[in-house]
Amino acid sequence: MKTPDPDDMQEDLESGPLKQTGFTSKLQREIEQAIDRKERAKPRIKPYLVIAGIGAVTAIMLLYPWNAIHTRSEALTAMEAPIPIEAQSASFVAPAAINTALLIGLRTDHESTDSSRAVNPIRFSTYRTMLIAPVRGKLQKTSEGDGILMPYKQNFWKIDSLVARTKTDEIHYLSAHLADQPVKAETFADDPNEKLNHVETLRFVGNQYLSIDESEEAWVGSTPYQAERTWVRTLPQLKEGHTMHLYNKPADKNHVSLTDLYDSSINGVLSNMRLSLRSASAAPAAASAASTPAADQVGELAGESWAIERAPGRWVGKVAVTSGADAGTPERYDLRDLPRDLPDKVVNHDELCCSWGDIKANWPNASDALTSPMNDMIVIFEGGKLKFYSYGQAPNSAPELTLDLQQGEQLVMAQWATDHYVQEWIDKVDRYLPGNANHD
Amino acid sequence: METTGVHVFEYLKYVSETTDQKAILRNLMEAYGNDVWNYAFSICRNMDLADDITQDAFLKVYRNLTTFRGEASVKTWLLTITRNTAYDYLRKAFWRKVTLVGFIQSTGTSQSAENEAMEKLYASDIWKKVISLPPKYREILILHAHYQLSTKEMAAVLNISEGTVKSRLHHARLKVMKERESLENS
Repeated sequence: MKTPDPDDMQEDLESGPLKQTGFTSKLQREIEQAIDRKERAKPRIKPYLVIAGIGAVTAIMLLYPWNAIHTRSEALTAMEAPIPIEAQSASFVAPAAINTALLIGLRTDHESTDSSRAVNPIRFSTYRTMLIAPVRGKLQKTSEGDGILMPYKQNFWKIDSLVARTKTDEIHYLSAHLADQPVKAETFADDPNEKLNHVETLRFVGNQYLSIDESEEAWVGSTPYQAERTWVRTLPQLKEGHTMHLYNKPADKNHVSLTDLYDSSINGVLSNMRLSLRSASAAPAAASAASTPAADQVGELAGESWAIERAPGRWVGKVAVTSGADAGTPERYDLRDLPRDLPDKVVNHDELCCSWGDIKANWPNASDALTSPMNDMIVIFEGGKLKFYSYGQAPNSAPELTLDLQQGEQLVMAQWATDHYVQEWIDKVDRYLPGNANHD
Repeated sequence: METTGVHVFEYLKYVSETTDQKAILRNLMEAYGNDVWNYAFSICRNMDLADDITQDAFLKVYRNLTTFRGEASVKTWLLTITRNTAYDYLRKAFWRKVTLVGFIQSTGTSQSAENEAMEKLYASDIWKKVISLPPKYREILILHAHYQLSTKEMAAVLNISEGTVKSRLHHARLKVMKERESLENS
């Protein structure tokens, strides 16, 4: 066979692939109309939000490769569009290697068995972070370490759960610091007349927001006290400090409210939730007039206290219905579903390749799933294991990578890197989680 | 091939929020609409899907006009966006397929009839051969011969090294030649 001439096909392929023109004036009009529709659908935005938005977009543009941008609307269009046979076959002949890394944060809950404790056994949590990334074409766990390592703006931050113990107190607190700086233990004033358990727990870690539970149990003199609270905070708010002795501080301003997140449009949603809450409370009361609850016993649903929780395949918002702390009555909260999707700024990528029903149809024992933004990796939580499949693998084939989960271990963070950020993350995470040891 | 040279779109580097971005997009579509559609079609091999990909690619271009700062030529920039959009579509199509109906099965006569109808639409036999190549060879040949991109530009669009571009192009040409020869011999 002769050696091919470099330019032998340029003339042959100079025209387009088809006899007819593909890009028609009709298609051009449709594109222009699509843009007009999208612009009309844009909500009116206040000037200060525009400035904040530009800042956020700039940050995102700096943090992520431009070509990895995917919007919900594009995904929906693609998912809902009928798939022609040729496209399907093309998709099967073009399996791309995984070019995505997953930084995954997990939480394990424990109960202290220290029988010498003055108050009840304390429930606390430990955390671990793993980076799963392709190395020379093979998917593997490149790093693992204790605590939560999260990307924040241009840096990585570490959140550690530290313990401070005194003669009477045990405080499990969250400490945030730049990942390349050492952790600094904090000191807490000890009151000999008080026995205190204070625990801070991470429910969710995004790329700027964190969902944190606080629980406190104490004997103040001879009076027992219990309180449970839940807040969504930004990383700087977490860094600002800890609210201790909740019985002295009925409200913590150091948090992000639902109104901060959604603006005043959320007020109608919260009003409806309050109405249905009162109706639900009134119904059993009608049956038993003797136990009619007073209005203030129904609980407060202000949208200040809320949480981000993992449901199968997605993160969901939960609004707290809080009960006030009267003398001797524990201060608690109940979580109700927030009937709104969480915005992208809270969960920057929370989109599954397919419905949860589709996942269950193929992995009947799956309890959760994640899909990469590039759709080149799917992670299935099944039978106490994390199973990683690459694009091009059938559900019934062996996963490309399987990792063991600890008993009761729960997802608190899933952050994705694509393109050249993959190698950058491999290098940096290896530096920040140098232990590489399995958590036990 | 690039009738509207890069210099014509030099002003793209200075697009701001206040510029008439719809007018710029219209110019881009008039100049590069066919290039974007043809590349989308070359990847997905389906006309309806090529329409959808083209629409999405230009919507992305519109949203990101202010980010273009001339690191690549306008055409390379547009082709990269088109490619990412097309592969995103195909991946989503794949996941939808594996999760809903399992692996692809031959649909027999209907697929053959569709292929036959499609074959009649191709501009030439050589296009038919190139389009039937595996994606990695198909793409490199089209970027080289149809779009006449430089090795560096092809490497940027395909996100591979320049060495890989050269070797892949060589193998792609060999494949087409082999097919040509076997056709002539038969």
